[in-house]
Amino acid sequence: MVHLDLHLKEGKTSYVAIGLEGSANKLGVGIIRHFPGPFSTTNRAEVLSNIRDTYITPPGEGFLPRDTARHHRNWVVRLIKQSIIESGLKISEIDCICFTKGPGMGAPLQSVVIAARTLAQLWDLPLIGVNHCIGHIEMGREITGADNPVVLYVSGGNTQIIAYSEQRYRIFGETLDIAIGNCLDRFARTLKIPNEPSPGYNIEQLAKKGSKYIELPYTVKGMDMSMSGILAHIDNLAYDLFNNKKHNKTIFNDDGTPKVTVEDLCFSLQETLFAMLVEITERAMAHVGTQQVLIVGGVGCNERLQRMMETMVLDRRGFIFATDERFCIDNGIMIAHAGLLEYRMSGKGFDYSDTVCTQKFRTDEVLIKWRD
Amino acid sequence: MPSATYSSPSDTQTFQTSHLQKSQLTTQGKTSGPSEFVKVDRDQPSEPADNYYGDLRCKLTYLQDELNTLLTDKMQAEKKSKDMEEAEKKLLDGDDGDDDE
Repeated sequence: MVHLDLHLKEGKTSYVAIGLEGSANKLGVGIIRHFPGPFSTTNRAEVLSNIRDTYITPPGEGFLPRDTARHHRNWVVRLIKQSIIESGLKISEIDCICFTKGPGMGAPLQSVVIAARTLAQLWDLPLIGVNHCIGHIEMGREITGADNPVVLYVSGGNTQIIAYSEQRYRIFGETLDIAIGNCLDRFARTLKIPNEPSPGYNIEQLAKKGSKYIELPYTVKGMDMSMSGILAHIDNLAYDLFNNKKHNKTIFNDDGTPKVTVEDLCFSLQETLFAMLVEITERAMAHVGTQQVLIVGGVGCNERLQRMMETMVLDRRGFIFATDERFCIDNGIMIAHAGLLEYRMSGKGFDYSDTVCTQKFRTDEVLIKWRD
Repeated sequence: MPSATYSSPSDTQTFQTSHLQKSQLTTQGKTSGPSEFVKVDRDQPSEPADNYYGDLRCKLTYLQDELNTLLTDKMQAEKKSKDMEEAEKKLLDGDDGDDDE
C-alpha cells in the first residue's frame, strides 16, 4: 500500500489544490480538498469549486489556436476569482497550484501556464504540471469508485484504451489518425449545425431521430482504429445529399427521392464509430482480465456510447462506470485532483524550469507514484 | 517600471514604459485582438483596475504590442530579402519548369 501522507505538514488536517485547465477550447478552474489517508467510500475527495467557460465558434467553424488562447487569457483571472469565492477559502489555505502541462493545443496551453506561473509567484505556492489524460483517469476513478478499470478515453483530441500496470497507465489501443471527437465535430461543421453547447451533443440529438443505418467503412486495425477515412466517406455522402447528386444510389432512390436524412447520417456515423470502440474495449478487458470499464473524456457524455458499452460489459458480467458532464468534459477539478496526488507523494512543486507546457505528452510517460 | 529588451547578433532594442501617460494606458492591445473569423467578440479583455496591477497590465499590453510589431517587421523584411534572392536566382539560372502553378 502506498503511503500518501509522508509530507503532511504539522497542524494541517487536509490538503487543498487549485487546478487550471486550458488545453483546448474549455477554460476550467477547480479547487479540491483531500483528507489524509487512502481514498475509500468514507474518505472521498471534496470538490470545493468546479467552473468552466467554453470558447464557442460560429456554425461551420472550428476553434483557432489564436482566438482560443485569447479567450483563455481574457477570462482566466475572472474565473479564478469566481472559483475562490465559490470555495469560501482564503488563499493561505491553498497548498499548491496545478496546471495542464499537456497534451493539447500550444497557444491555449501556454496562456494557462503563464497564468499558473504568475499566481505561483504572487501567492508564493508550489506549481505542479499535470498530464491532461491522467487528470481524466484519476478524476473518473475518484468520482465513480472504479478501482482498476480498463479506461476508454474519448474526446476531441484523444482516443485511447488504457489499463494500469506497474505504476503506468499503459495504452492498449488508440486512434491512428484523428480523435473520435474531432471526427464528430468536423462532421458537425460539414452539416453547419451549431457549436453550442457542443457540436458532438448536437450530432447526438440528431442521431436520436435517425433510424436507417447506412454502411460506412469499419476500420479497426488490431487494437487501434482509424477514423479519417470514415469522415471523408460520410462527408461525401452529405455533400451528395445536399447537392442533389441523384446518381449516388446509396442515398437516392431510383425515382430521385432521397433514401436517407441528415439524422440517418448522424445515426450511422455514431453507430459505426462506437461499435469500433466497443470491440477494442472488449478485447482489452479480456486481455487485462478486469470486469470494470470506465469511460472518460468529452465524448464519454454521449448516452448512446454509454448504452452500447453497457450492453457489452453486462454481457461479460462486468461493471461500467461513467461520469456526467461536470467531470467528463475538460475541467479544472481533475487537474487539481491529479496534481494534488503528485504533490502528496513528492511534498514539493516542480522546479521552475519544468513548469512549461508541451503539445505532445503521452499518458504512459507519467510515473503513477500514488498507486502500487 | 517594466521594460523589454530584444537582442540578436545584429540588433539590440529596448522598450520602456516610463514615458506612458495615464491616458495612454489600456488593456486593448493593438496586436492581441480577435482573428477575422470571430464575428461576435465576447472575449474582450476586462477594463484595468485603478491600482498597481491595473497599471502593470496596461504597460505589459504596451510592451507586447511593441515587441509583436518589431518581430513581425523583422519577419517581413527577412521574407522580402528571401523573395528578392529567389527572383534573382530565377533570373540568372532560369526557371526549371517544375512548378505546378
